[in-house]
Amino acid sequence: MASVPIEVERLTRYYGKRRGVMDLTFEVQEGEIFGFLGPNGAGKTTTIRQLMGLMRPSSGTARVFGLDCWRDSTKVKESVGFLPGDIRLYEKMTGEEMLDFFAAFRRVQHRRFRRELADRLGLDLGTRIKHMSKGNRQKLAVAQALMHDAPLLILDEPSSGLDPLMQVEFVELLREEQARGKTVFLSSHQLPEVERIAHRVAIIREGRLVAVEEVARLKQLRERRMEVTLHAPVPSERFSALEGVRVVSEAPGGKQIALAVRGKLGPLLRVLSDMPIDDLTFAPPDLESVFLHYYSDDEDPELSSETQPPVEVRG
Amino acid sequence: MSWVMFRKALKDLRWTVFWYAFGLVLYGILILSFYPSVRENAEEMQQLMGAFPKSVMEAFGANNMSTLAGWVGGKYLNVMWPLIMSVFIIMAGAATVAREVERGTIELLLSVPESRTRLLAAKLVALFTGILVLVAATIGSIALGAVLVDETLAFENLLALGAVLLCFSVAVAGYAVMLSSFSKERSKPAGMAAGLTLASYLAWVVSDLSKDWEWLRNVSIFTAYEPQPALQSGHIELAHLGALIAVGLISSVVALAIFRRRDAIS
Repeated sequence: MASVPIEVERLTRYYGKRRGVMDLTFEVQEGEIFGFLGPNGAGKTTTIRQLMGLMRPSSGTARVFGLDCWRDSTKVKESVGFLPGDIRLYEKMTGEEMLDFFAAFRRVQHRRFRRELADRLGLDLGTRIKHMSKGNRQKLAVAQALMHDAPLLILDEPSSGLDPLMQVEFVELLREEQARGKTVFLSSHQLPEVERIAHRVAIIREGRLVAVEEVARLKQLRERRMEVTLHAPVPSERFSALEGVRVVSEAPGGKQIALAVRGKLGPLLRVLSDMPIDDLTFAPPDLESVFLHYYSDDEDPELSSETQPPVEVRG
Repeated sequence: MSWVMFRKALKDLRWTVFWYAFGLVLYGILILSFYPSVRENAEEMQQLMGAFPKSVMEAFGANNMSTLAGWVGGKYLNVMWPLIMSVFIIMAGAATVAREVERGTIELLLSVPESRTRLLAAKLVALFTGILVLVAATIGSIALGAVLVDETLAFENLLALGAVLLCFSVAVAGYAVMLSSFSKERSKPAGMAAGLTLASYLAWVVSDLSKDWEWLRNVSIFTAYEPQPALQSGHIELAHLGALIAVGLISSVVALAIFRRRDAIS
């Protein structure tokens, strides 16, 4: 297909007087995995619902492969595999019946691919949906989105509800789909997840687009929090002298230091290896640090509550 | 119309339709099984009926109970049947759109490459099919009941009755689906459609009680619902049936237009 998979231009949607999304403009190129990142309530699902023709934009346009997502929504959906954010399925059906139902609307059936997907996701398709766990429902919905072999996948918070092992399998699946030429648009509120999968990300906050960045660049911009506990005091200057390292706080006595780390880790790790370390925690990257970067010259962002729990590295 | 959606909608309705059909058949045969004793006491029955003002008896569909058509009309078709059918139609009709929205399944349903119009049209046709089955079951039970009590009913009369029952049901289905097409929860269109049906019935009853209220006949679908003359003599008012069909079809078209434009979110 010659047209751009997703083109969003000045897309705006209000819910009455309440804002949904405002003035969004971005493009998703063919063959890329594009992350749509933002805290809960930022407007990710509102955007996706407009891409899927579930609701009409207040102004602006959303196009999929050159077709208007509202006016030509039936045609748009021929080339889209969709996973909703809030998975609600037909409870009385079995997994098999549900997949049969959704496949029947498409001209071409991909029964072998569907079986393969079910096997890889560890799905028992004979079970009634009402007896399925949240994780299995999610897997079923993922299989439903992927099984049509559609050139564009629109996935709203796809890994929520999947256990960590299945998340790895899911990322692998997406990479394979990409290798087969698919374009993937996925939303998430977790920075590490998007960093792991996507090449580019659009960051949305309070309904507005904050930035569209390459993931590699994003990794240079955002800070990660490190807390170091030492059994002998070390002067904090040894850290602050390093490029990209900022001392956030220091406990009296110099035995506990909190750092904000940006960019390359190598120099810091070398310095740490010579120190009398008792304990060390290094938090995964979080969205707030990205917002802090973009808003540092602007306003002080009201930080949301979606901080990641720190990952502990015990020495 | 989407055949895939039609098959699913019909499958969803099948057990409900089965149990309603079972109930309607049972009820029809039960009522008819009492007819022989009425037939034997026709004279007393007429006298008893004569004690009530004619308009009151007509308003509650209980006139001329000594004939087979009068008995079936008064005990079954005039009030009980539309009541039972309205419950089925309103619950099923109100579910078409609003329940998908309420349960959140609408997002996945509308992700299929099929237009909203064709999806809802399929649900409508499935509902009409369910109605057709129930009307056929009703007619079948009356025909069978008549045979059991040694009465004969003309085929044309049964056909005419079928047309009346069908047109009434289509009208109720139309506005139930229309009310569903813009709702987010099934209970609201169901409540509104039930209220509308009840108001329509009351308007019809009141219109017969006083000259001042006669104009209410023109706003009630029950004015056009005349099963008893159809069963009695095969008589149908085409204009009345046309009005019922018009209510059903126009509100169905409005439902399709609303559903095509609405936001499909809960």
